[in-house]
Amino acid sequence: MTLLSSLNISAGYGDLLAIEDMSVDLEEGSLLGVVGPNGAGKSTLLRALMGIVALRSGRVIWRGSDIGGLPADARARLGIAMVQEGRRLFPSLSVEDNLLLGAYHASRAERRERQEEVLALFPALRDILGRTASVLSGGEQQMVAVGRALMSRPSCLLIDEPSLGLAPIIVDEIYKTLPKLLGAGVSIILVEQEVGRVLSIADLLVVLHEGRKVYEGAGTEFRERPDALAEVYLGNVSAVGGGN
Amino acid sequence: MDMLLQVLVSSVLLAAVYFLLSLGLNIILGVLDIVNFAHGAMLIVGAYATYYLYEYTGLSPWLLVFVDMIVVGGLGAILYLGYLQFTVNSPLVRMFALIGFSSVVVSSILVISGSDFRTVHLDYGTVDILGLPVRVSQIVAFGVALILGGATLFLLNYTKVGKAIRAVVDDRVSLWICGVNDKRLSLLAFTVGTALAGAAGGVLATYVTFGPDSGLSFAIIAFAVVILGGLGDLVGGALASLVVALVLTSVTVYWSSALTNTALFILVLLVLLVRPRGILGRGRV
Repeated sequence: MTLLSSLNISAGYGDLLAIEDMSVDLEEGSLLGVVGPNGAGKSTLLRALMGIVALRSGRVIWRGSDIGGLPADARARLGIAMVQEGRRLFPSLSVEDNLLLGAYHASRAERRERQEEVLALFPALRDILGRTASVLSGGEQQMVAVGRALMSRPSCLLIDEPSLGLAPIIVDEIYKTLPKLLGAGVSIILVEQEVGRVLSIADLLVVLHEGRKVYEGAGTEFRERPDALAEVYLGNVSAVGGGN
Repeated sequence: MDMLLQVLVSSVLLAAVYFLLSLGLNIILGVLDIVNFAHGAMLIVGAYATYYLYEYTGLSPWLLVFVDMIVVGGLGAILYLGYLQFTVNSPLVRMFALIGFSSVVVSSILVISGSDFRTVHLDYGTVDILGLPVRVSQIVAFGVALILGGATLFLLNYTKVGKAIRAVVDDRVSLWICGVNDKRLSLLAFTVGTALAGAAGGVLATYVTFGPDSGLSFAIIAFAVVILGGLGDLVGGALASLVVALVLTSVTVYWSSALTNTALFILVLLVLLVRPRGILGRGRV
């Protein structure tokens, strides 16, 4: 069943149209990988789905309802969470407060319970709960950012470039949590420049280029033929048997 | 020596009032990025509300401070909901609206109350502090300012709503993603900020004489405290209040009260040269 879709959406900033006529579908319980070079519109796609960037045209469908007119906070309350590029924590607040704000509308007991779940996923955070977010390392920040997003117990998680600026060993840790989240019923859209990493776990892969979707195919398709992705990047989409 | 001690004691008592004076301005500026040009008008509404309510009801002016908060906070909420919320992308229009609002307030007071200077006379006697006679009303004003300042710091640092208000300052978009409606928080911040201005006006009414135009000179002190303390840094603001109180009291006692504003401007400019982010270096630029 389709959880979240964009139907022919266009969005941008000022005079710039960053994505155009973009349609993607996220199936329940699956991971949709979005890859593409710099400026392809990957982050804008996520921001448009989340409601941070206004749509110029098209619709965003959540469980069959059009949510294109809803602001970001309302979409978050429906069950969509997002980890933004650059983490974007609340720097003046402690790690614990950052996490708890992720479950702002939950009861006190519920927030504590969810915090324990997040700490079980990222045990390293337990020792730094009282630390101010501004002094954390990049890896710690990323764990807090993912943890904060999970505090709302989302059905859908949008993750923007989780590997950006982090050491590979830290990125490995972050990526280890994704199958666990899928197992817990969280559907994921993952935007990433490191194509290899996305490829290893994506059920479906979408390739963007200059604001347009240039290819969409099953993750297995690319895993079986690693050379195919390079061909898609070079524009020869027929090499993998089709495309959009 | 007695004179120096008098300056120190007076400055400490006054610092709490100055802190209260600046608190609302700091919250509104920090959370909403609104330079509240109507801060002085809000203060003066609080001062007049206390004056007239005390005259007609005889209720304790310290109790009336809470009435001031409701009256001026309510006025602030109406102003925000009725106009300011629609001016997010028009800072010039907003500035004009706030200055216009101030003019309306001052004119209304002039029409209703005339241009006479007023004060709330309290004769609670004096007590000895370090061998110096200090008016009890000043000590109560100090206490009320400390309680309100402390309550505000508690609200911002230890409650869920307060932390969300601080998060608005940090990253509004991230707060949306947490499912939090920042518009309601903004309204709350403006209402709390103006309510604190009303409370400060009420406290000032027992401290000094004031007239319809006095809001401006109080607002200048509040702006100086916010700039010296660092934008959004309330602890820095507390320290800056003490510095401003010390400087203004010293200038008044040792030179002339006519030089207080000049001293204030020189102080702000000098501190900004070496500490552009405020005394503690933690304020936003």
